[in-house]
Amino acid sequence: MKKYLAVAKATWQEYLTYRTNLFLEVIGGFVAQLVIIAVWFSIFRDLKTEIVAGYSLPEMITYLLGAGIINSFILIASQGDEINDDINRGKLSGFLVKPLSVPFYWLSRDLCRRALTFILGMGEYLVIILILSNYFIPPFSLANFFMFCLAVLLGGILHFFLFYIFSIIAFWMDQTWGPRFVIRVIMSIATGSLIPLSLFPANWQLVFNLLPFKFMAYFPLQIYLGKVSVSEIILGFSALLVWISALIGISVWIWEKGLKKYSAYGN
Amino acid sequence: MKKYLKIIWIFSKVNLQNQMAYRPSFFLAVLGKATRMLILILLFRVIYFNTPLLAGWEYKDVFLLAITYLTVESTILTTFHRNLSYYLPDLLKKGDFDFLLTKPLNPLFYSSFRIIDLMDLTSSSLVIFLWYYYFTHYASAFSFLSFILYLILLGFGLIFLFSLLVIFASSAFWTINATGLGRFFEDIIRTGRFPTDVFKGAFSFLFLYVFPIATIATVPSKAFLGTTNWPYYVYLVVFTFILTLISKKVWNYALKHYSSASS
Repeated sequence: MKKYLAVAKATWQEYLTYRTNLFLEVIGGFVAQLVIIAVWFSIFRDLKTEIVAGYSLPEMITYLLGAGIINSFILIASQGDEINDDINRGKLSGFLVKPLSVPFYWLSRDLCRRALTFILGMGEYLVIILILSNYFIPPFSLANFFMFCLAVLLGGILHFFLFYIFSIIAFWMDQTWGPRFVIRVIMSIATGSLIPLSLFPANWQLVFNLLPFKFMAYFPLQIYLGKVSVSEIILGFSALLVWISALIGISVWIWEKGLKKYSAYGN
Repeated sequence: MKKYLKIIWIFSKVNLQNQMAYRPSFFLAVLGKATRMLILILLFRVIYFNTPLLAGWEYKDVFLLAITYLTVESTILTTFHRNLSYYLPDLLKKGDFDFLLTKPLNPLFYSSFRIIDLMDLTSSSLVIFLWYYYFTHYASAFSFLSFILYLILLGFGLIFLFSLLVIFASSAFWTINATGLGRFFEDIIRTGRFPTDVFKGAFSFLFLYVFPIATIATVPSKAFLGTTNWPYYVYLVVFTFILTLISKKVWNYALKHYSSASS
């Protein structure tokens, strides 16, 4: 554990060197989210109604602000580039001879980057939460808040393993940017970070329910707002854990197969 | 002009060969880019599933706005966006910019159009289909003048974005790593995918006059739909002209202060 903390510490310092870049990445997403909020203000103003698709204006604003914060924690850009490059440029060889687990090394670096973008994102969103404090509603209950935090954390792990799988296929492919990009594009809508999934027509919701992406934003935010029952929360967490276990299982299998194929090309 | 068009054609061919070296990734990226375009249409579909109007815009008009935005986005992604946002800082970091300066070409042209992204160009065929869909399903009668005005405004939107990006990219001569600005720029232009009429008060002023994101899609689409605002067009012409001059000055200033790295 100690060595992974050391990796995290070194990664933290490395990313802090490029803090302006990270800050700009996060602030760009922040501006984009503010525009969506303006769209919903406009819809509620035009419709002159209290509720749209089961959401009051404060619920919708809270949902979108929460989704923005989760975005800065989870949905960061260029996920998996480093893993792809480490494998394809032969840098992996250097890690394999060290007394550490390479996937845990990558996970430590990933969590560290997430923590940094989360802090930057949180700072930006806190300002807007203060400005829109009339529209920002607190968590449904303290228990819901803790479950929300747990769901976000597990959503982050799910996200890591999903991209990890699509990065370590670099053992067989020269470039994995394409499949990772497709996943990112699907995620932009299927996580519910752009718009609550319950606003989609029923057949679309059916598709989204079959995918793991809703656990990254929609599910935690439903818990925060108290829009899901206890049984739905239990069912949701169970499904989330099944998805994580399945992805870990698949990733271990691909990793072992990949290592046999690895030829340290480029080293 | 002919020489530069020929060079762009050569850049395209070379880049197609490079990108096709990773065929599965190329086709998946094209699929992803096309899906991203459809997601914008889907997003509006879902919004209109819950409301009949968005800031006074009907769905068919927002469809036009969306494909206008996608046309602009595809154009800049295929041409200068990544060149200036990501590849230029990379050239500077590795010291390869010196090599670029030795070419008998305008450095700004070379830096902006060196890599023509064929993935974006291929996925742009979907934009053509969306235009066909618009004309066959939603478009009502429009005048020839509106269409010409639409094209001119679209051109001004592109010049505005190019000038803005040149200013952003010039900062790479000092900061070296300016990729964060590229991502920031991407997110900022995405603001243009919604009608700027959703903004009220100070924000409306900001996106119309100070940072006229409205020029990307809202203003041309309105012109196409027959709503003209001549005083604003005059402002836009003056604004774009001044911004272009500033970007040229900033670029030249950055070039003068360039000191090679790594090489």
